[in-house]
Amino acid sequence: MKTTLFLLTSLAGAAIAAPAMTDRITPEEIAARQKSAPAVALVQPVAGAEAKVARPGEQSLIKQSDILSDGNNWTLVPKGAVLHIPAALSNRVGAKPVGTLLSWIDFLTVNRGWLFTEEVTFDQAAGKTPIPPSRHDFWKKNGKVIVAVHLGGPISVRTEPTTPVASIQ
Amino acid sequence: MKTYLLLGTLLCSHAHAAGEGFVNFIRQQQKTTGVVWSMPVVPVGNGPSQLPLEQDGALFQLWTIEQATAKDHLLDQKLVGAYLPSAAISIRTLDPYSAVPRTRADQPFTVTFNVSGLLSGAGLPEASTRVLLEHHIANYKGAQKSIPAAQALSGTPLSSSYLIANGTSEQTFAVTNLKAADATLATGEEHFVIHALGDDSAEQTQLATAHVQVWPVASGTIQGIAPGERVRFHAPALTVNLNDLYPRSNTWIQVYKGGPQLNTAGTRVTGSVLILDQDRSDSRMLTVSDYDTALTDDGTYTMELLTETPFGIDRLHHVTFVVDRKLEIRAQLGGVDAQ
Repeated sequence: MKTTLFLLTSLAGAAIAAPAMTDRITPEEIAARQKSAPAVALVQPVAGAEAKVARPGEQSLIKQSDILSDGNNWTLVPKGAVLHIPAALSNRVGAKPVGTLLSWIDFLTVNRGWLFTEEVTFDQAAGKTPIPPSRHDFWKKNGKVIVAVHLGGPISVRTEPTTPVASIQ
Repeated sequence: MKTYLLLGTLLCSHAHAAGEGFVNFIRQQQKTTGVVWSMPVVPVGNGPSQLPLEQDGALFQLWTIEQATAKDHLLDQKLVGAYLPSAAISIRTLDPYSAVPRTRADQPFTVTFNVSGLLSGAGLPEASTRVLLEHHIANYKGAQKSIPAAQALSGTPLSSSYLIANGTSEQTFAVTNLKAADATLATGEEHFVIHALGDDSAEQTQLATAHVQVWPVASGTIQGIAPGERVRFHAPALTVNLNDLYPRSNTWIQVYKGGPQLNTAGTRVTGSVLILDQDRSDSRMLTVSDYDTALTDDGTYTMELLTETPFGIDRLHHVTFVVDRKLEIRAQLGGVDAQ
């Protein structure tokens, strides 16, 4: 605790004190600073006992998403969030990111004419509860691109069940 | 059970980094069911996750996409779960810049770790009693000013250690840990990450991460006037070479009468002042002339090249010379005798 308090005081003091002028520091002086104040030692892992951790590899939000575009603006939603695409609007989904990128809400606001949102429950998104067939019929009649949302945010919808269906022998 | 995870920390720490020209997205990936939810995002603020907390937890990722290039950047990610410890990391430097913690190669910084949810007692699985802290370093190459997190965290860490107690702990570093042939020129990022100890099936174990940018110590020279030079009439034009100026810095030349003495207030030379307020260090070259008005009398003068940063004022170069404008008329009186 004392160390912490001292550190805070010294950092704050340095920040508000009138700046002092010094000659440019040398590499040797940096090495001396490092040697005089080594970092606090923490508990080291046992040699050879490598901890099992998983580091995030190369990831891409765009590759994990479906792109929606009206020709001038674009946005992206999780893959699996687009529930229905009328043939006449197929060029609006999966397009290249060209034009101005908008947030989902802004994109939806300017493209209400051809976009429709289907509010789904989490269980429906997880594939635990099916979306009623009546909704599928509605989407076909509606003639718009249908995007699944949960509380206003686009959400992926699993079409296959999350647990294997038991079969009766 | 809902995850009332306060995403404010995530957003506040990076919203400025992803400012104008960028659009932010927060994705929540449910690890058990694979459901992906794109949370509605405001530039700054808090919001609870509205999805149920599954047994394997959920991965929250903060992304930004650059408008001009349509390139996506993963700014931060955090794994949260009912049976996982939780962790947070913050970094404090002497630079008040708020978009991202940043410092200079010769300056100290402090990393604060906060861990909760660890259990203690005999017979508990290791994953519930400790978390792994890793410290990674990555040098900038060329004009680089940021390194993707996945790249920075992909190599062997500089150090690894366990945090075995709930609560807050701190580590202070007197200077950067980046490696460089000349330690004053070290530049890059230091990343700190806390991992849950996963099993073989875990794809992500990152509970918290933070990084600090490190910029080099500036250097510079005044060319055009040599030590001990005598200035007779017009002062010579100067070429000022400035290297690795700190992103937020004021740099200028001052002149005062007398020999070199640190902390002496002098006259700022017109045309020599350079103000930077940007997101990376910079190198410039200035030409300065017509500064005779700063050399009022004959005598010895010192000219200093100074740069002021959040860490103080550094004298990068100085030269002492003599002003001698006395006119000496050598004449001889003589007479001519009339014959």
